[in-house]
Amino acid sequence: MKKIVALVLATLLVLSMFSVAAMAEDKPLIVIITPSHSNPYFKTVADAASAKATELGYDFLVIQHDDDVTKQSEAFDTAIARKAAAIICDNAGADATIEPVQRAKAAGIPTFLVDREINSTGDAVAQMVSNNYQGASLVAEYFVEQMGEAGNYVELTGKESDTNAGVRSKGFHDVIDQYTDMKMIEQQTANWDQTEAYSKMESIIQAQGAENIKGVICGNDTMAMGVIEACLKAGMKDVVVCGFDGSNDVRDSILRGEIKATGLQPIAYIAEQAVVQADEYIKNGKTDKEEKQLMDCVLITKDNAAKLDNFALAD
Amino acid sequence: MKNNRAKILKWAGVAALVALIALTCRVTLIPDEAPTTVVNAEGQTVTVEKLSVAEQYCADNWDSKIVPTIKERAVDMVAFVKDVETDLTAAGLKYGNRANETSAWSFCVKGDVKVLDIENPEKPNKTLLVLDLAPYDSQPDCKLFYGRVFSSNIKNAIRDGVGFLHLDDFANQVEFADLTNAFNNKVKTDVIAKHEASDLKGKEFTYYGCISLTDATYDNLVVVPVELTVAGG
Repeated sequence: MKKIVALVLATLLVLSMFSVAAMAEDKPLIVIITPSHSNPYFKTVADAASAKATELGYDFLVIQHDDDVTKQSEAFDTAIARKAAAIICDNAGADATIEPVQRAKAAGIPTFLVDREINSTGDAVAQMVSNNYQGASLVAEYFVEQMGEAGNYVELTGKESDTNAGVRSKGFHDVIDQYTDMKMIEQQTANWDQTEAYSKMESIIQAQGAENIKGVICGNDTMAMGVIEACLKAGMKDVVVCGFDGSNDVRDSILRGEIKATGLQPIAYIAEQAVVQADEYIKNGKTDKEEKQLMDCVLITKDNAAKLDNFALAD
Repeated sequence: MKNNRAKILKWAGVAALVALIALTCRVTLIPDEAPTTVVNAEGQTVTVEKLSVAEQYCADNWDSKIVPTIKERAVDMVAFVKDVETDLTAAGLKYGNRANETSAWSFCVKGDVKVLDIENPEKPNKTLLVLDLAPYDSQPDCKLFYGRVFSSNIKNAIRDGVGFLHLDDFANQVEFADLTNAFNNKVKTDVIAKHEASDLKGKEFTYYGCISLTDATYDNLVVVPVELTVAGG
């Protein structure tokens, strides 16, 4: 009798496993891993990717790693445990992300990286990032023009562990350094952070004197927002501040005549395309795209800022 | 005699020591290397410790691969202007390159031209030659970049125009971007520096070069030259 009960139970168990698998097969899961949504930029990544996933018939799960590599590693574990069909990831570190991506690959789960590169190829199926260098060049050209090709300026850079911080800074300097009358008097990191940018800029103004700073070029928009606040407080109405990202906050600042320009990263488009390519990979086992894909940025100034919304330009 | 024997013993000892050293040490011969030089953005020749990957690539491939590819792929500018003004995407699909939908189309072009005018002669960073394409009608048809600062809309024309250079073949965006800088420095030193812009006014020449376009308005028809052969010069 006991044996029969055991057999029935075992059969039920096996059947239930099949049905779970069958359900999972009905709607495969795409796991979307991003930095904290406190920066609206990353919320856009998650929103655009999840909307496209739903449209293409997938379930999705959004996890925030808050730029913490341990949290990111746990997020990959979750994706592996849930037998995700694909992972879309805006990663927490160019080196620290290699291992989790390899772990997912070993478990048969393809990873599509968006927004930030990692320092390896052949592990992720795609690395789709903004052409940060091209975007930074665009912003720097406008910055130089607004500065009248001469004067003292300050640069605030992003988080050092993030490749984009270095790429953007190089993009800025490859343009600006060609003008011998442009003088960088301070270069500091504010780690992408608005509050840190505000306080750093405040001390720089104290140290250098408001009248000696003609412009500030920033590695992202949140830092630009901190900088413009500090500058306006110090009465620097004509200061030339430029950012990078294309956020709605900076759009509004540009329209108010405060910040002068930003480089729009087509991040909504990138996040959607990552899901499109993931879908293609899930269905065909391959995509016809190169692993590393650079998406060009667009310069946003007072001329086109009104058309910008949630990291996309209206036609 | 005694003295001689002592000498022999001494030399034998030295020989044995040398042999011992030779047997136990690995000797690496270091050839005398000529210092590597590179021409910087200001046109000065400077000695560098080591060329970057991009600079090395440019040094190795400019004459043997980059320029020959451009000459081989070059579309005649008269037909080109007509094509891109009609339908840029169709022209791009026919003989251009782009990385993806967000990038500009890049092409290899050639033209027989006469210099009608110099644009921005007082701004050496942004100087352009205004060109009349043969057969000449004294109307401006396109421009040739003849400055020092390559703006974003033209800077990748060569790298993306040749069609065989891809980001995947380089370590990252920075290295790939450096390739553009290396090519453009080469244009500055090998092409643009050869003639003063002011000396070219009214001259006729044949050029080979590359162009990047997102839309084909006259102002955007700016070619980056890789070879310029001045008639009678």
